[in-house]
Amino acid sequence: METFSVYVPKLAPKYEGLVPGHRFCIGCGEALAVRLASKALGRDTVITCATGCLEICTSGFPQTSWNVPWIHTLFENVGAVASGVESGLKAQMRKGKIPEKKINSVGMAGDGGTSDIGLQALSGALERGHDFLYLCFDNEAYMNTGVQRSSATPYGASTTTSPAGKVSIGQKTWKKNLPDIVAAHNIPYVATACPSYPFDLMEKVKKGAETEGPAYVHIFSPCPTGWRYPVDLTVRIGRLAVESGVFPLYEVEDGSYKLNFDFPKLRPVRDYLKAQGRFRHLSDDEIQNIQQRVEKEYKKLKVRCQET
Amino acid sequence: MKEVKLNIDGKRVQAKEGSTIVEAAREAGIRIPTLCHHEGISPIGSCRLCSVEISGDGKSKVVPACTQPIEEGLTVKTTTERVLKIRRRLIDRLLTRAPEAQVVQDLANEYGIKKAKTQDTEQKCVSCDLCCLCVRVCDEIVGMKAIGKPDGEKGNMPFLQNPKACIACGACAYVCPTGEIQMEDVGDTRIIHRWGRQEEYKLKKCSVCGSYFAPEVQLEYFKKKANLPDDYFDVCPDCRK
Repeated sequence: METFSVYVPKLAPKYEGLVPGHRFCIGCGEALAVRLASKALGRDTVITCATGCLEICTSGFPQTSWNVPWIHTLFENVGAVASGVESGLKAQMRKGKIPEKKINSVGMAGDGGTSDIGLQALSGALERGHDFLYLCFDNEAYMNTGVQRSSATPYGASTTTSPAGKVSIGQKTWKKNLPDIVAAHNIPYVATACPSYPFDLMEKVKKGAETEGPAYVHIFSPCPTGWRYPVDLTVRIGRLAVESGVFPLYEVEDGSYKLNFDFPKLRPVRDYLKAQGRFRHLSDDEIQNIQQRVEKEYKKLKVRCQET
Repeated sequence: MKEVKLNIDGKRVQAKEGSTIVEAAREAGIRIPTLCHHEGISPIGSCRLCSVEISGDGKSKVVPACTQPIEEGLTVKTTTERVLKIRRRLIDRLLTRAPEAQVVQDLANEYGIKKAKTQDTEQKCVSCDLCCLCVRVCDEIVGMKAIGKPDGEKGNMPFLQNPKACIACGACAYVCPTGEIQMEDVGDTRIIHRWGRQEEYKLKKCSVCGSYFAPEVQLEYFKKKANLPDDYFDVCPDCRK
């Protein structure tokens, strides 16, 4: 989809689900991703949103940035509430209280609300097979409360609770592979996306919403505040992450893997790491270590794509 | 901007002055089926699926909602028997024209039409619904006019020859509602499938990262249009510093 470059942006939906006036930081990748996703979802949507940047920045009382029905819920139960919304709509349609039509139930959460705190509610909702879409906006730490590490924080990143210094290199564990965990539930649609590839993202969100049964899209959202890079580099950082293989874009449809962007040669991970302040302390050895790990994971993914 | 009040299916609706019935209805969450309408392209009202009944001064008439501008106090009905009869007849013809298009099949299901009354066994192309969105997008958005309207012959495909002016941008593939036009990149070629043909365009390779990033014809066109140096597109936008 990303091959559409110059003219197609003029044809993108003009409808805005997330309207201007919100309080996201300048250069926020998440705000961009949410805006594109809401364009793809359209008007017939009910959004369930976990605590996090997205909730804080869009719903400061008495204002709201949302053009669609929107529920704020806790960190731990987005999956449960989104499945409840879907069941509630179904029941109301059955009783004839609202006209029969497809209304998307969409859960939105950050990486903390998805991979740490909300994982069991998400897993339950996926297992029960509700017809809903879950969007995880992954900015790789708890950015809303001031950059604390989460299980989605990558190896070597410096955060306020995993600071880099003389004895520590920052985060000591590798990033939790959430799309893989979700794909292991054998749901019809799982994908990874990045707002640096806007048409790919919109296509995947649309596909996820149209899928019968649970769907999950993991969206990589660069965060200038927490990752410590200049605000004008958001799109470039996203592209570097994809081109270096740190965050490959792929989709899993009914168990078969498809790599959306396959580059003839991966860019060195150094390009991606050195652009960000959270990785500035990394030594050459550590960068080599990360490079090897990224290549290994990428190879594993490619093998899966060829097998299925 | 001035707001206009009107009534659609018994619902009071407010919309911007100068917008069309389709836009006002979509804003209010009322669905009107369309095939040839796209919000980014000027409407021509060729598919007529959006036909609605409007009334004022005691008279009523059927108009295409995508071209009809709204007026103060207008009463619009989207699902009267007269309108449904027209739509069913149109869908029946569309089913003859493009039996394999998913949108047409979905519409036929919705309106309870199982099989087209007439069958055309001679036609080659079974998905094109002649909405001419590709023609308009190539003219208005891209400005190349590579795809032409069927001249003279009635009910012909938008074009039957290889388009010489095509720059392989894919706008027509993006906008095509039936999936008749499709585009894919395989290695160093971009393949566009349309009207039973397979057109191939060579892609340019980036001299730094080695990925194929855009069709050569397109880059030539940009170079000429913006008066750029010859080696400007040797590297892809990601590698350019």
